[in-house]
Amino acid sequence: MSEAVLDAGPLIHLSELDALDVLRDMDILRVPVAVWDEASTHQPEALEFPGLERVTVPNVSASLQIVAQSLALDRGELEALSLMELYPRALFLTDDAAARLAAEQRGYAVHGTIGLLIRAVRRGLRSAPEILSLLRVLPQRSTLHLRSSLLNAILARLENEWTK
Amino acid sequence: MIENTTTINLPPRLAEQIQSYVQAGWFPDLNSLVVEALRRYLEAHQTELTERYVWQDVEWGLRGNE
Repeated sequence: MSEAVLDAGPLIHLSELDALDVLRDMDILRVPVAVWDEASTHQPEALEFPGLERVTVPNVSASLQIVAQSLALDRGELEALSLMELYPRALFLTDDAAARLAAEQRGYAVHGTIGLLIRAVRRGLRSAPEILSLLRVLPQRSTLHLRSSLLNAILARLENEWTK
Repeated sequence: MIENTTTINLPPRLAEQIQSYVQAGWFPDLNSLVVEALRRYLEAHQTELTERYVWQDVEWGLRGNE
């Protein structure tokens, strides 16, 4: 069974791209309350995606509090990482470098919006041309900010990979 | 701010270096030093980290085996 804990980034960015369907092969999608509230404020339509499970997070551990303080994590990231302590085999989905660093240090599998979009081709959820099109309009259609030269390098890598 | 206590394991030599910084008055305690070190690391490497993570995602997207 595949399960994921979502931070606000992928939830919002995939929704902005009308691409939340790339998560549809995951069995359980847990969204901590703080992340839910953040998405509700910035991209409420994201929460209409079927299968999202709004989860109240129990007490945050002392060690995680210190990590959060050190890395200036927001409440959503803190709750998501706290949920990962309960479900350490879940995939942690975030676009925040600090949250990802903290997750890596704790040994969690962690990926973001870009990886999820590309994975959708591998998993047969979207075609390669569809994902390339989405990536090309990423700067206009989403609030996920990537340096343009980095995005161009990714597109070149994918075009090369998918046209072999 | 919520106060918490936790335990971290440090290699002896690193622990000695940290202790010397605290004893010299650079930091009031070990916790402050660790917090500051992590904060500075992230500030210095934010762009680099983001790009590294994006490329990790590209490879995972293409070849992940989950």
